[in-house]
Amino acid sequence: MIPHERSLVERLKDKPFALLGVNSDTDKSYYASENKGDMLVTWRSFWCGPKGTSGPIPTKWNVRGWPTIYVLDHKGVIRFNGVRGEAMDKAVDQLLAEMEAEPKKG
Amino acid sequence: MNRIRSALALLALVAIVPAQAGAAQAAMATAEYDTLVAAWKAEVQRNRDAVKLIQASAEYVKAREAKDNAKTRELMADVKRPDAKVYGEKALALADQFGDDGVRFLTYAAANFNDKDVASGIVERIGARYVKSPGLAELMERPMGLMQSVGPEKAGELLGKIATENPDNQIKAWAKYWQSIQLSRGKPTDEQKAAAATLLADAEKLATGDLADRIAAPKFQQDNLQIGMTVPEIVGEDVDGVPFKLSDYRGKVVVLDFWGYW
Repeated sequence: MIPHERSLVERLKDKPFALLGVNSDTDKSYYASENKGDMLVTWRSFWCGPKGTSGPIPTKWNVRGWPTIYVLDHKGVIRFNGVRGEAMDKAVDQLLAEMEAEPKKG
Repeated sequence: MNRIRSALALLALVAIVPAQAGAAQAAMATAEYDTLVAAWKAEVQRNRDAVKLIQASAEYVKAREAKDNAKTRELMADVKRPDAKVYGEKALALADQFGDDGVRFLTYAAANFNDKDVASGIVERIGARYVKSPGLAELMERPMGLMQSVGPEKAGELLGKIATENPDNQIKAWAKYWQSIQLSRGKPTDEQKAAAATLLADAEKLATGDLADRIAAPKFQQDNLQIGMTVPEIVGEDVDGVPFKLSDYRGKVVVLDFWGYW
């Protein structure tokens, strides 16, 4: 999962795209100790706090399964959920193409 | 004169001792708690390191590439897992030793030492000594592992007792919430469904904070998190403690991924 996401982020680094995590590790030192090599995470995450998967963000969002994934377009509209691997790549590419096809304002 | 003075001093000492003993007892409980937690964390870390070492070995990599599950299991069998039972029994003994200060040992044990006998020991002790304790707050946020270990009958009995007897509204609310969750599991009868709905409504009236959010969550998801809806705001901090919000990324395509290394 992480290696795939890292390659997506790398491939789209010059595009209007961001991968954002909502990280549910209870212990930040554990996060730091794991965040390297093949599991290196190069993107930003909200931290759920010491209650981890029961922290305020996943609680409010009713997150029951991990990972839970939402894909948003540039207007902030939820367009896909649960897409992983190639399906995630396709979803992102489609939304970037839509955005580029939109007439520029001004 | 001297005799009077020493008698007075003795009196003063007698008066001070109980208060001091209470504080000393609490400090000792804290020290024992910290020692127990540190020892368990070290065991868990040792286990993780041992697993990683084996996963990195040429033999393991070869077996995994060949999808030889019997072999990978055999290699992993050498890793000694931290003994939850040993630690759990230690936690139970400490809870017994420290009386009113003991509930924290049971809370930690419930979250970390997954063992059937330990779970029964925890539930027994809570039922006997801590039903009215404000110290149950943390345990009541995530009691389901514990409840599953002891089975629905004992779990239901304990939750019911806490819901009735604990004076704290939030603890009551959690107890009612978990009772309702438990009743809704599997294939509930109509009677069970109705009881669960009543308990949930009661919990909703009493709940604040995290629990209020949790009870509202299914509706929040239904009303705000469906495809085609504008995503709700998230205001938070990143892992480095820097504040930011989801809408900072408006104008970009965003993948929002709920994850963890655990």
